Amino acid sequence: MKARPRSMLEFIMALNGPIVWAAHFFFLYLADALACSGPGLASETIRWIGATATVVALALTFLSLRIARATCGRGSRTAEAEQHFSFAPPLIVLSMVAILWTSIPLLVLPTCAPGSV
Amino acid sequence: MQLPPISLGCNSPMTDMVTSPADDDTRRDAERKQLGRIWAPPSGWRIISAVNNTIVGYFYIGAAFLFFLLAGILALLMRTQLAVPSNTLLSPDTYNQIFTMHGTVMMFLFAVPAVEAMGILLLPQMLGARDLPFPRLGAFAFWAYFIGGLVFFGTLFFELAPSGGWFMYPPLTSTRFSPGIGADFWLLGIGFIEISAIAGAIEIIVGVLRTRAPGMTLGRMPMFAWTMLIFATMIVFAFPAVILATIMLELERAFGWPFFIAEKGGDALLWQHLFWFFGHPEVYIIFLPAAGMVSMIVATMARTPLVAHNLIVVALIATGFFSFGLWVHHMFTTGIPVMSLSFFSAASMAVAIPSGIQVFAWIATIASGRLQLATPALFILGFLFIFTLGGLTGVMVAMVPFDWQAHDTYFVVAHLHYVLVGGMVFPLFAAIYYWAPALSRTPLSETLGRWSFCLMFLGFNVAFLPMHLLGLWGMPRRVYTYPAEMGWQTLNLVATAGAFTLAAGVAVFLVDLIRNLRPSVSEHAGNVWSAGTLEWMPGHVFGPRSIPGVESRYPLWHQANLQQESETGRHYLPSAPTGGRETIVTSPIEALPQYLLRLPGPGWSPFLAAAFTAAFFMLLTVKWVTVATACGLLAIAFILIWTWSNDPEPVGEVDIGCGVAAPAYMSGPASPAWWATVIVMLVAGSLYLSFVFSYLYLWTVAPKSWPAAGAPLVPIANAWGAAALLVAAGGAMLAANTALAFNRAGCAVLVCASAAALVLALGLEVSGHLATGLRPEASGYAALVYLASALQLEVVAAIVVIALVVLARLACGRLSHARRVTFETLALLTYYAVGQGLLGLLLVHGFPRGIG
Amino acid sequence: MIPRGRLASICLALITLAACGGRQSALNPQGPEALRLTQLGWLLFALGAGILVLVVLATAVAVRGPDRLRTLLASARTVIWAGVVFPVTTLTLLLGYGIWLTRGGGIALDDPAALRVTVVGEQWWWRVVYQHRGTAVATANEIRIPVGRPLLFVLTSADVIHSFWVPNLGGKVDMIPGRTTHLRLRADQPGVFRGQCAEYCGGSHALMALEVISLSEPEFESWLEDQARPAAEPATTEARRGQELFVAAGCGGCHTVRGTPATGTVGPDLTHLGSRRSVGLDTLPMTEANIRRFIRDGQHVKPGNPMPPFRIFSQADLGAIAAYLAGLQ
Repeated sequence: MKARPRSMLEFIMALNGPIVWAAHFFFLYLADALACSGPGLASETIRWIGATATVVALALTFLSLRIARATCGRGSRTAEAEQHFSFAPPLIVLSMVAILWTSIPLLVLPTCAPGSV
Repeated sequence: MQLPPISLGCNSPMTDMVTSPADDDTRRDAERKQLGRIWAPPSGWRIISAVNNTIVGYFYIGAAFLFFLLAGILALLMRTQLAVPSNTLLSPDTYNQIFTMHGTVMMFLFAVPAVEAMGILLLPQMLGARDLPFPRLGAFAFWAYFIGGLVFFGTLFFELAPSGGWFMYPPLTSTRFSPGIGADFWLLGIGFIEISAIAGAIEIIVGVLRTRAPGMTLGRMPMFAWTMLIFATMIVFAFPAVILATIMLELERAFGWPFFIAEKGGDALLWQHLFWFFGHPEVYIIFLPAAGMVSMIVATMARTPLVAHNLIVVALIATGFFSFGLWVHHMFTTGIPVMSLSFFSAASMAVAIPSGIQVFAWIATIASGRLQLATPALFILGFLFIFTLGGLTGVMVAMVPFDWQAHDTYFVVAHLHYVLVGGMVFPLFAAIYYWAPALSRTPLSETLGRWSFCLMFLGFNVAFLPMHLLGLWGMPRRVYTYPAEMGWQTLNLVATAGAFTLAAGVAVFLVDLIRNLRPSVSEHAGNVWSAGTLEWMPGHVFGPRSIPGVESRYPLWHQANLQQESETGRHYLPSAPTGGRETIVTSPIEALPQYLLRLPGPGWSPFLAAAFTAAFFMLLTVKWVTVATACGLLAIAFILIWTWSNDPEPVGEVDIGCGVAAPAYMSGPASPAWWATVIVMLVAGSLYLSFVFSYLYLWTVAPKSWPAAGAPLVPIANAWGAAALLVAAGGAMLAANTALAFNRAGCAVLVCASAAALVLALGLEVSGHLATGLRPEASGYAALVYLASALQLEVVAAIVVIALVVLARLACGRLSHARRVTFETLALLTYYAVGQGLLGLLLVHGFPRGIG
Repeated sequence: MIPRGRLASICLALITLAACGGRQSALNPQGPEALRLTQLGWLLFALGAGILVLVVLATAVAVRGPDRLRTLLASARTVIWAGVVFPVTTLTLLLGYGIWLTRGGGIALDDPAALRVTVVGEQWWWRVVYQHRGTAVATANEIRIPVGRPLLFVLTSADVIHSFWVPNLGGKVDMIPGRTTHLRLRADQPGVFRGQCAEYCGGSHALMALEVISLSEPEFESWLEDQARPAAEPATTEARRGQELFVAAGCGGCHTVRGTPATGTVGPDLTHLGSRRSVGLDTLPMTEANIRRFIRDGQHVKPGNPMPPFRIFSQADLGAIAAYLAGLQ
């Protein structure tokens, strides 16, 4: 059984877990920075924007986890030797943890309170 | 591209022509001699012109170790000064220069170069390649670093060293508060040494992804190769931020462009954001290769494959990504809103998990085997303790409220030394003891090794453990002395004693090196540890005798007879089909052989180009502008001489062994040169995105500097004109691409037109701003507007030079439709310049109108 | 590998030492903010020490332990439990707690009951300004505060980045030119707390210290009243001569003494210099001898500071000036 040669693009796509984390992280940081400078946005607005972004990020990662496990998880049909991207499922799980952790401040903290004791 | 038969092993002697065994031996002998001749390095002092990765690698690691010793001596001076309160051994200014240089030399001239050196030294052998894909680039990177580094260190002897701390915060490092040229030495010196690191990174990425032995799929790639790949990719995205910051501060100091001066619409925190966006990934850049070395050493020392190999790969990739989300944790006390701070606290926690995975995977590996407690294993155990402790204090300071007490105190000094010395120095010493037999005629001494380890481990902990307490007792960082009433003197004295003990350990190591290390490219002590990876095959000046077909992660353990087969030339590339230096290029994921890469031999151009580049930057620092310019031009000249012999004549397909025929020339997206150019584009793009960040950031801080609604701006026609010229440049290049097949003269004209259009677009943009009376010294906003053009100028200038090369090659017949790699490089960079230029125009002309 | 017995005794020694933290120690909290941070610190230390012991034990077992345990450690499942599940759980709780703590101690930035003190970082001293009945009361290097009242420090810098840090009372906040940052603190009892600049600011950064003295509310009010008054008239002949010399030598170009022609703002306000506990940009205890020393030899006391050494005075003149300045209570 001959395998289809894999490309760099597929390799990069196998990194979608941390890529989604990065997009989510920088989006939240940017939103908070813009919200707290200049005219600013209401505190509640930021929370809703952040929460939505988090839900979207988690959904994306969950979806890609399903796909990754289907193609290279233990139950997959691809032969052992062809599982070049077997790092993908655990990587996505770690990214989901990181996304969840990034969202904790959204629930707990006032939006633009300065950082000091 | 031909796919070989699925069975990649070509170990059957019958794969070859049917000849008699005697003829076979004669032929093999002749092949071996040919390889030896082709790869022989120059003798005597001419070794400076060598480009073999082993030789450049030895020089590199030697230079890095030299800087380690020099910076270590600086540390001993610091500790002596701090041993007693109110000490007058060193004046404040001297001390401030010394601590700045200690940090700068350790981080920029030791840590990153040392791990890069291990990569250059070990990767080709480990991957089964004969050399790295761009040997002269590696040589250039080394010499630039070495010469620049020596000059930079030398500033200490003239009291011209920088004294702003290794992270050089403005406004302290602005002209007003640092009037001498010390800061400029840092900015120009370190700035260009970073370019050397990027050059090394390009080589490593292309090397790891494209020159692995056939059959060495991603999954079978050694862990050190994974870490070097991630290390190099991180460099590509992280270093540009500090390069931009360096350019900005130098422009501020030299020409008054006020990026960081609050009164003129700049912001001191902008530097901190840019610096730490680089600075945090930097420490993982330093740690990851060390972790890779640990993985290799643990597996061998425990005589068993790594447990949870896949999870370790996951951990490495996760670290690479997450480390880019930590940078504000160096700025927890700057008054940034708590919510932002907490995002970074969360990411700092996230990055701890991959480290934990690796630590337990190593423990699991040790548990699943039988650890030989030789010196490398001792250093690994020392690393486990010290690095874990450092990682735990890292989690402590990742907690924002705790950091509000611990930041900028000796607690952080303790933490950073635990993770850096523990996480990188101990693995490095383990690696030197471990790989010495593969690189030297004689291994190092076990006895001296144990002494060195004990003294270093004891000394390090005695020196740095008390510092945690000192920090919590209130002792800040970067203080040249402290009063006796504070009660800090006992622990400081203890720490000093520890530092000297650590130094004694290093001295013992030095003795061992001098007495026992005999670096050699061809005679090695042998596989004394019975390791399983390819770098332990018998070494020759040309790498492996024949490039082995790989079928497992530990080829020497799991592929019977592999070594014997490879040594008798029964695998790939047993000879040199084109008569020169070569290695095999394989596909990035499955390592299927794709083509034969011809490599250059020794030459003086890389060394001379590096020397003149170093001279250019250093002479600019002392303001000898004319001589500096001359050196710069000479540097460019030597680079052109070296690149002139790039892109050799296509020679059709050759036999690379095992019944596989492959082309000896490749252009287009599969060629290493294309990959290198793409990486350069990523570097330039990261630099430009850092600029875009700076622009938007400064707007949030100082919006008043931006043109108010209704204020006169550059007429939009200018912007459209520049945009049209940029698009035209791109179009001309596309046309030139097509023309190359039919009409070389037409292609030449189009290349000229394309470059000219880029230059005109830039000229139009700059003149437009000048015409409105805007001057870069006026405000942070103005400086940013002109910075956009400065960054565009950098790219366009490079394109003009390359265009001239392309024209010359077209004229001489060294460039054609078939032989087109240089043209492709030019085309890619042109498209990049068009994209960057358009983004710049959108930002500079569109943003003020959008907000107004 | 450190023998376990030795490790234990080192830990014990360290803990004992730690309990001896004094002035300027984060382990000696004297206010609610600092207390919260110290408690967090101890929790982190306990957790960290525990995990370190765990890792050391696991390594020891892996190297030379009983085979049953080694087999347990050797599985990928253990790696997942120890390296992923355990850290994720622990760190989630820790992160949540830490983020919760950053919500602050309940002193709003516009709290009317808070005492606002502006502190401007200079190379290498602290310009302190109180508001008293609508007027600004300037002093330097020494901050007196009332016990129990919420304090709001309004921080900025006149030159480079400094950092305001009084560990007994709380964490540090940077003082950044062009920006204003805030620090909210409270002292629980009377005392003298030492602070130090915690962001390298060149030159004599190591000597940029300050004292925060907490007094009972009535004592504080009376102190502030005194500070708000213009300078005391010189009481003795020597002091009067000192004042003449002070004016003649042009000291008023850099220093302010309220109620006299000296109105310079480059250097610290000297109106009530004599009432402070330290002199020489807070490096020397307040005595006439030290005042003389700083005037004559300030560059050796605090190298690089902007005040040039004044060697032009005779010993007697120097004494007179010192008497005058010490008399500015």
